[in-house]
Amino acid sequence: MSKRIVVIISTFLLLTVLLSSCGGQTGPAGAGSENTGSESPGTTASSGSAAAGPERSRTVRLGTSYKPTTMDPNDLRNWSSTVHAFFTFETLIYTEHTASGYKPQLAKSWEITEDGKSWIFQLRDDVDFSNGDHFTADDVVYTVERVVSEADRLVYKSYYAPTMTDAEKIDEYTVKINFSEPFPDAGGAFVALFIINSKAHQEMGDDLFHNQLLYGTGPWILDEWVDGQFSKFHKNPNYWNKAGFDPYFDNVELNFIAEPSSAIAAHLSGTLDSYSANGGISMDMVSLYDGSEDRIELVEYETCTVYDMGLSFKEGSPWLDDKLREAFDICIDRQMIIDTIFGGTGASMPVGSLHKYMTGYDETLGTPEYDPDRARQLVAESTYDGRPIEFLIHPQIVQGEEVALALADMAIAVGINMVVKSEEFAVYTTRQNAGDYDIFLLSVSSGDGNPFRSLEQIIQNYNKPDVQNWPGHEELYALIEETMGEKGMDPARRAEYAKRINKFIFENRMPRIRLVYRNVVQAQNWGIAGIDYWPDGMLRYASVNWDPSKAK
Amino acid sequence: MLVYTLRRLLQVLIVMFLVSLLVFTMIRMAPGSPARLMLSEYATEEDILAMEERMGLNKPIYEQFWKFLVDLFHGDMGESVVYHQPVLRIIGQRLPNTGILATGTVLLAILLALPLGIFAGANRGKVAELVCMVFALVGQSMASMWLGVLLIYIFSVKLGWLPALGTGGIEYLILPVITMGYPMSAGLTRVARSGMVDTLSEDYITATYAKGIGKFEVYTKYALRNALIPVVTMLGLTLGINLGGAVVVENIFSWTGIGQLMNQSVAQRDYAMVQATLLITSFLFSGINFLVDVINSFINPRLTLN
Repeated sequence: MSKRIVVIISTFLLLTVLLSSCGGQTGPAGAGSENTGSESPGTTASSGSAAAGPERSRTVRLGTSYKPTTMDPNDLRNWSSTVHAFFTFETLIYTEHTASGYKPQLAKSWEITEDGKSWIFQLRDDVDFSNGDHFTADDVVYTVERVVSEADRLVYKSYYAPTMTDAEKIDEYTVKINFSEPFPDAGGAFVALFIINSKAHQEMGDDLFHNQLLYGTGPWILDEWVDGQFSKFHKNPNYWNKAGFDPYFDNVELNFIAEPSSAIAAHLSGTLDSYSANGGISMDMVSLYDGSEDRIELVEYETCTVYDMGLSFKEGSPWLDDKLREAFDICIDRQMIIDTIFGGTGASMPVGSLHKYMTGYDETLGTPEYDPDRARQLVAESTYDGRPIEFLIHPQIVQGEEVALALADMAIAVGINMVVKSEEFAVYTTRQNAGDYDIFLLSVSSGDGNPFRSLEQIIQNYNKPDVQNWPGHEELYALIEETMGEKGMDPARRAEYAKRINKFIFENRMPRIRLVYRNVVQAQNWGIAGIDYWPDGMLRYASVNWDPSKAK
Repeated sequence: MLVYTLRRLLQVLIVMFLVSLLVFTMIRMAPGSPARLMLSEYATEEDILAMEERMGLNKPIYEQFWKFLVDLFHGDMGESVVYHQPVLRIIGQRLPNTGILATGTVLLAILLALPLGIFAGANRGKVAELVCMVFALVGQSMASMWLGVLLIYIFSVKLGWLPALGTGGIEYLILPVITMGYPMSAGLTRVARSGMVDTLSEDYITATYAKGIGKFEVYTKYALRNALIPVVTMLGLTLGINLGGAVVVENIFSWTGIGQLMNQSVAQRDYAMVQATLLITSFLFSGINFLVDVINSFINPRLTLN
């Protein structure tokens, strides 16, 4: 008996050793994959040709929390899918996601008609899709017709261009896109309109995307997408804009990782060349990178991602009282929140109600001054009867619970009886939409430096009878409506409108109170370059490159 | 035996129907509108109503359930509102990963638990038993989240022997299988030990010793067979649970199985996906339990009486 037991135990030990050695052969990059952290002949950052510098593999492995759910570029329901679409598809114009305006991509130039209802694009004539088909105005018309006619199925129109009606081909390389009424945010709509290959889609329909045949005009070609795991791309050899972007890497692997600690472990172990998360790496996780400074660079940048507090203005809401709103605003020690919850650098103070990267930013507005004594006095003078005020949050807001608890403590300290209630996102959204809250915390980002989307959102979120209770709502509504209906796109006029709205929201603390802007940290190996970390929180991995001068 | 098997099969069918009814009803009782979640934050009430109509959510719930059952019998479990693809296609991509992980886990658990449990049971009151039970206690006390992260830290970050996450060759399987298999083997070890101790105290075992039969033969030929019944039962249950997905382990190791999918679908109120994943996992669970009952009835035919 004892002999047999010894044999069994020995077998297990042997098995363990075998398995361990099997893993050991894969090296730090993991599992038979190339060691992306190793060094091989390098090139300049902007070119695929060889140059002096540290060597490395031609495959780059990126870790991300952005997990796409669809390959259809006209049905991008989340940022993850959009981030993925950047690899293979392009738009007529693009943005650096700041107030710097729009830049040409598939369109060389554009103009807006006198009535503000149409945009006329002059297209490039030197662009081919990755399957060899030539890009023309037909592809733009086809894409617009698709998003308009299938608006009940594809989210593009409802998300970006509710008033888009049709497109007309003027000639082979000129196209006119029409709206039913002047649309101030048309630029924002066009930077999200990924142009699909009309010929291929006519032949295959949506099977084109289901079969992962992403024939776009972008710099990469999709090899394989495995839902929830990874996408693999190779360089588009016939990319039209090689003069602008010719990456060192031949292949990109985008790994989708839900658990941040695992992703960081994979990065530290050398399996990944970078890790970036939607909303950035949580500040309490950043310390896991301690000691890896010689290999990994922490990229920290400011974003337009703001923590806002939406106030209820329904009948009987205590927030209808100006004094209570002011009391709550000035009882908040924003610096303390920045220092303790966001580690000192993870967030920054708001100025006015618009970020400095956004049109309408006004530095003269300043930041609400922390004054708990005055807050206490205002609460005493207000009509607030001390009833509990429910602070609604959801767990997906990064560090949202800590923020909400800190805010509730500060409110309680000045006499506002605040209770934090965390709901599942689906429940939170439903309650928010139904106006079933006293106050809610939200983390939002305004894309491409254009504040009008968030203004429109404010209208939509409050488009219910409660609005009638807003003190001074007529003035704000008139301003917003006037802005949204403004014909033409004169930047100076738009900036002026945005400034006035910014001032109104800031001074009246209505309908939202701004808390802090969040800074974001992402991590990448030294030498990895080109990934666009935009201030609105969006990323573009598709521009990834290798810069040997920065490699260590 | 045949009657017993048919009776168990009928019970499985009844369970399946009740599960489908429960799943269908409960996901709809959860607060949060799937139409609202599908649309952008700029969607109006009209947009939401139109989306509800398109999703068939405006119809009475019994009508929705009837359509669900009819479609189910035609092998159609609906289309995911997140993926815009038939749910079975998505599940079909994930199920093999779950199957591989569950099978690896069970194999590891059996390989560890059976010998250790039998050894411990046969050496009751000795140091060997204490060592085996400490092994089991430690395994059962460890949270899989903690164990998983610890293993990644040691074997991936520090030693660089194994990949931290993902799916692929056998090397990708080792850490998740240990994370799931060790706690499972710990539980099985305890059950196997108890089974062995109970069986060895039976009169018929004493009788076999009296006949002069050797210890090894007594253990393997007479005691093991009966001691296996609770082990097989527990094994079946845990295999069924593992096939239902292991959300924590799948998340830690980025192992895209059905657990992650189910978790994500509930959050997004993807009704068709939630229904399909729950139904398939309950089917697997019921099927495995059915098999366990059949296997147990072969091990001990007295179970088929009554």
